[in-house]
Amino acid sequence: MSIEKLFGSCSKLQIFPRHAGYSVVVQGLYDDVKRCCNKMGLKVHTTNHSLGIWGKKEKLPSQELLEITTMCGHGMVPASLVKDALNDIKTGKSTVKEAALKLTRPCVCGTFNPDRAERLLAKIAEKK
Amino acid sequence: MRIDPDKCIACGNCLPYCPMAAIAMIGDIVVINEDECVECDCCFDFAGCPTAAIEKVDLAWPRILRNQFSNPVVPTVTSMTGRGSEEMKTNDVTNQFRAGFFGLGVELGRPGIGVRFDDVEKVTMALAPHINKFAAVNPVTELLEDRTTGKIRAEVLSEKVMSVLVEIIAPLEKLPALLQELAALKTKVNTVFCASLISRLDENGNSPVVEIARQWGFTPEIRTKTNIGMGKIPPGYRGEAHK
Ligand code: SF4
Ligand code: SF4
Repeated sequence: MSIEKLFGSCSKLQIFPRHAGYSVVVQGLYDDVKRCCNKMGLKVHTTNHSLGIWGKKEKLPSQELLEITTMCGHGMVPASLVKDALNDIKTGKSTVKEAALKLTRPCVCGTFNPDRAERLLAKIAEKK
Repeated sequence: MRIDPDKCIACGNCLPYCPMAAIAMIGDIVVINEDECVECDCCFDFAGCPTAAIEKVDLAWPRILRNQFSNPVVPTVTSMTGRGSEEMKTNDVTNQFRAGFFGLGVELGRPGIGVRFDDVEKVTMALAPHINKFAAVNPVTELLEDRTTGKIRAEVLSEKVMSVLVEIIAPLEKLPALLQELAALKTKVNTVFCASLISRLDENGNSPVVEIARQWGFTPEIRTKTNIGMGKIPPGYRGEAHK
C-alpha cells in the first residue's frame, strides 16, 4: 500500500509514523527531499522524473487556464468550464468563491483545490 | 451519451461541462458529436440538465473502453482497475524497478485533449523493440494483441478516450534508443503526451537516468516524485521482480 501526501516541510514529514510500513511518496524539489530524508536517517529509494509535455501543444488552453484545470489530474475540469466560471464572475452571476466551488464538483477524487482555484480565478478576473 | 431532442430546451448549460467540446448548439438544437465524445459522464453527472434530456446509452465493446479510460470512478472492463500500475509508488516493496533497469511512463491525452488508440499504438510499437516488458498491471498492456510488436487489437484503434498511460520496463542501456523514439513521436501523434522516467536510486541517492536524458536533449524536471523507502515487505511477499 502506498500513501501520497504533500508535506509542507521537512518537520511535517518527520512526524509521519515510520513503523507502519507504508510506502511513502514525496513530491518536491529532489535535492530538498533527499536532504530531508538524510536528516531523518532514511534512504531515498526510487524517483520519477517528468520529462515534460510533448506533442500537439498548440491544442492546449492558455497557461493560466491550465493552472486551474490541471488541479484535477483526471481532466474532468474543462477549460470551457473555467471560462464559464469567469463569465459568471464578470456578469455578477456568482462570487469568486461560488465559481471556484462550481469547478470543484467534477473532480470526483477531491484533489482539486477550491482555495487555490479561488485565488487563480480572482487573479484572472482582475486582469479582464 | 446522447441528448433527447424531445426533452432538450437548448438552454446551453451542458456545453461548458464537456472536456472534449463534443457538445454543440446547432441552431436551436443541442447535439453530442458521438465520434468525439469519450463517454466521461461529466455532462450527465454535473451539468444539472433542467429537463433530464442527457441520457446514458448502453455501451457495447469496444466503445465501452471510452467510459473506462475516461471516467475515473467507473469499474474497468479489462481485468485491471485504474489507468496504470502503482509504478514507483510501492517500489520499495515490489522491487519492480531494480538497479540496471528503468521505467518509462508515457501518458497520452492529458491534460484535457484526449487520445485515440491509433495514437497509443504509435507509442507502443515505437517502444516495443527496445524493452523488457510492458507493465503487467496496466489496462493498455491488456489491449495489446502482440506484446513483442506493441500492436493493439484492431477493433479498438479508433476509440477515443480521455487519457492513456503506457508503462514499460527496460534495461538501462536501452534508454538512449527509447529517448530517440520519444523525440520522434513528438511530431507523429495527434495529441499531447507526458513522459516520465522511473529509476532505482544508487547508494548516494543518484538517479542513473538523469545524465543520460540530458545527453539526449531532454530536461528532467528537478521537482520529482520520490519514494523515500519507508515501505516494509510483508512476510511471504516475493515481489514483482521475482514473478
Ligand atoms: S460524456 Fe463526456 S465527452 Fe461525452 S458529451 Fe458528455 S461530457 Fe462530453
Ligand atoms: S442542459 Fe439539458 S436542456 Fe440544456 S442544452 Fe443541455 S441537454 Fe439541452
